[in-house]
Amino acid sequence: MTLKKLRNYINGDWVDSQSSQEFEILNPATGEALALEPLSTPDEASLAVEAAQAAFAEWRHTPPITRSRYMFRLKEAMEDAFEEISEIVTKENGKTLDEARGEVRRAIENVEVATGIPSLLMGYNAEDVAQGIDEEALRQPVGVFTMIAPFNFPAMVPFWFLPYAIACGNTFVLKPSPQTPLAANRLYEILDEVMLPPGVVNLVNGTRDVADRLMDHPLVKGVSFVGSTRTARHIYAYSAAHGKRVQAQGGAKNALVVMPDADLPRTVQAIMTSACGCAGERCLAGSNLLCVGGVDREIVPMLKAAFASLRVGYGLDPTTQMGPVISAEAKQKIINYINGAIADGATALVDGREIVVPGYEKGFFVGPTLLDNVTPAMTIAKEEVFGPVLSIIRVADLREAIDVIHGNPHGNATSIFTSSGASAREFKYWVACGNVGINIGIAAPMAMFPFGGMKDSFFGSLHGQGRDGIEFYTDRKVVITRWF
Amino acid sequence: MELATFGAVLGFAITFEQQLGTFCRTLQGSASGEPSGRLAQAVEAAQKREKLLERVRRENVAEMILEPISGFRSEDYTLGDVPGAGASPEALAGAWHRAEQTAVSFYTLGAQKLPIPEVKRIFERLAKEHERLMS
Repeated sequence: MTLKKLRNYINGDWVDSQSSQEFEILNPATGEALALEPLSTPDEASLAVEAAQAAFAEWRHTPPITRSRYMFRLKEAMEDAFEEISEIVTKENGKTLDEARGEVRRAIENVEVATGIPSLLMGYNAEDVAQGIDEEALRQPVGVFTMIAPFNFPAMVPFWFLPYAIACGNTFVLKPSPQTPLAANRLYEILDEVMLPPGVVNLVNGTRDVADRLMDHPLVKGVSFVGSTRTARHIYAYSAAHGKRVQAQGGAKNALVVMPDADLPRTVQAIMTSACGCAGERCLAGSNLLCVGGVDREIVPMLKAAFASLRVGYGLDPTTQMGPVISAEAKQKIINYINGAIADGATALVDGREIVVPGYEKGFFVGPTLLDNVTPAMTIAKEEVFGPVLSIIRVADLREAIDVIHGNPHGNATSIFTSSGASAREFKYWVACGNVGINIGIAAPMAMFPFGGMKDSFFGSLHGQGRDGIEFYTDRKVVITRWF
Repeated sequence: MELATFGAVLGFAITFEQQLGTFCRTLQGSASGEPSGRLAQAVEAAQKREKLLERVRRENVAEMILEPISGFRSEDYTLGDVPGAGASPEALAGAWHRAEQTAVSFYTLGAQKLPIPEVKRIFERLAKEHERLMS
């Protein structure tokens, strides 16, 4: 069977890449090839940017209420294709169909928030700032923005940015992840059906060459990125050096703190979702479990049973609770981390290294892995594993738990499980993480809130989504008026 | 099949309504008069519920509530055989009643199993709707 080769979407047309280089996109559960990804050239990225720049003047002049109507149409079109997009996400990424549906829902929610752009764009004013003089602050779109997307949420993450960027009156160029470009390509078919003016949204498939051009092109005003800390730091520095505004979300090492007064059955369920949801391949995944004051005696056996009973399989099977990881390389990297932890003195209470899923022997599966006797100094406790691995660390009290969290350079997310308001308040007040959960396993901000991130988990000042998104995609202009 | 996830439960509910619609349409073929009209309405109602459940699935699947569900199996909610041609009105009514009773049981337990308030409310409402159809 001939595999479909993806095309770029530039200036309202689907165009073949001129590149002869391409590689196969694999279904991580079956190992089968799904499509061919072209490694587009930097010049093709430039064409997309130029098309976006050409579209900007008319698009920014389009009334916000009209741009909002495009968002309503986009939402409806995404609802119509909801199941199809979800299945694509499962096939290319591996996550379960429910997780994929949750992702597509989150993407749509961002479009829903962006429909409010006529109000969100409003500025403010004051009369008589001096005798007979009025002053107003306007929000105006800026120009061409780009987004470099990760593999783990191929439908959702681009939509943390795209709806706000274009609703504000900017134009947009997306480079999807080369490992999971199919959902984004399908979403661009939907954007095409919505009939936005040519050039308002563009997509270029490719890898680093394309990303570099998007970051250093003189017509690009801003860059959004989600991925590892190492790459986020590079993107931030490289883009800023080329005069761009940047929001670069990096990696994470998220701790889940369990207090002795936590509701343990519900806490265990939340921890399972946090550690094993999306096979641990998300920047909000809980990976260090900080057991406070002897709560480990009760919760560890419960977790062991829950980890051992989780059903691993193909995400399209409705009984599957956890899918594979993205690639053979990712699987090996996770196994290396587990091997290293055991060599450092950790104990595998549940060991997912040798898992075989009948019927899917070519899949990149790692079973849920629960490691005990981990200390904060171990590599497994310090580095992002990006797999379904949870490390148990014992601490004496909440203060020590917060110290352990602060000892890590990341500051993406953390959660506390407690029935004490005082403990919860102390935790949320002191902890230096951008997304904080209280009795919540995955502290994922809804579309109307910014997706937080501190320390090495975020480079920039304005985050994605919500008010921050509007600020990032606009300039404020102050006008001071006096009429003679 | 074990209905262990949100998607499995909602997917089964959608399939169940499809099957119930087909079941009622087949019954309608053997019925006449007032029962036939009521069965036609039941077919239409099943189609509406199918659309409703698709929307409920789309709008309520959130990653923070993907918690496993246990003790819920699809095999417990199979529709019986449709009585053959020439079946008495009582036999047809009995088959339909049993099908609606199965639906009531499914949605009642489903409402208890799903921790999402909006979905729980819809399942409770559908249980009531199927109960009304039995009367």
